[in-house]
Amino acid sequence: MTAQTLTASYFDDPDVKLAQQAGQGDLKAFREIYERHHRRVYGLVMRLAGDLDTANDVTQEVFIQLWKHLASFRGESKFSTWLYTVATRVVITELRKQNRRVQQLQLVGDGQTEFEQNLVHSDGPDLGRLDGLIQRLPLQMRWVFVLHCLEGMRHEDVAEELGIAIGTSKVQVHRARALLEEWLSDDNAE
Amino acid sequence: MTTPNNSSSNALDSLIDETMRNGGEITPPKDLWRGIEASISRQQLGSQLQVNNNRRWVIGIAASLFVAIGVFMGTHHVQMLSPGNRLQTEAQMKLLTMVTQQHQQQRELLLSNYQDAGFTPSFSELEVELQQLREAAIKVTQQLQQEPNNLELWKFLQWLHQQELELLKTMYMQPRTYRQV
Repeated sequence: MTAQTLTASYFDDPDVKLAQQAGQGDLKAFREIYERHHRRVYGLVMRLAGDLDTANDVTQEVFIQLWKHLASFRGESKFSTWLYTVATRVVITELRKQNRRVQQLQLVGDGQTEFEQNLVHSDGPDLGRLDGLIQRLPLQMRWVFVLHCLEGMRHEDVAEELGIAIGTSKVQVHRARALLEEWLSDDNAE
Repeated sequence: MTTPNNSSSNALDSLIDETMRNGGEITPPKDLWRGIEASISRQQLGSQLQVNNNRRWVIGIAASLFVAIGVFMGTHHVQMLSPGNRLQTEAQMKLLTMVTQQHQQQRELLLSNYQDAGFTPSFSELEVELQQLREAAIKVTQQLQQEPNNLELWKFLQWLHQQELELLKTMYMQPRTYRQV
């Protein structure tokens, strides 16, 4: 990487200076990074985790891990790209750790997921229609759909992150779309 | 159940576009920063504790050394006391009692101030260090009774008292994590 590129990224990307300051232990700079990015990180975590408490805990864990790894940011990509790559990795790792709990998020009672029950909770975040439908997808299908269709990751990268075959990623996206379209069609027919 | 068609596919694409138009952001229902900040502070405190662990060794070794030297010196000191020296020693013993009482008062005042303000202490790992500081202070006080002219011991006792007060402040002022809240 040339000095010119480094200089350009330093001035073009306002996060780079903050990241450097935070990497040297400046908590105030890190808070500014948090303020700029936490809503997007929370969106990713919420869609993958599927319940409020896990989303809160895992989002905090993402930023705690980011703080630890800030020194490894070399400015070779946009800071936000690096941040969401690290975030995705931490989220997947953390959710895998909580896999037993996540598995319990399958259909409960009358077919309503815990997530959907949380949606009507007064403390819950304001979610759109798609987010409500996504949570009805089976766990792995949901993760693949969110990472590929919403986060824009390539099938190769999704497959690597989740430890599945590329073909599986493609099939899961296809099935997820079919299910979501079906549910949308049902909703419109009612 | 109806069969999905092109319009459903378009509707899904529209929903995806709509969701990602603002970067897929969702605002968390609670302030998550406090827990993050607390965790980072704990990590930093953890590093500090590692340093303090080393300091604990220094305190322990120094206290033992003072006691060992003191046992030797004290034996000779008592044997050599003249009537004038005895008066001086009594004054020094009074001073030692006063210093200890003054420290206890400072400690009680500090604790009552924090408790009145609704603070509760955290971090049980610090309690071990607190206990060691107190034990070291007791040892040094006992040694000063044997060796009241030892200026280094007086300084050491003062330093131990100060460290105890600083540690108590740390225990009360550390933020708690989101989970603890």
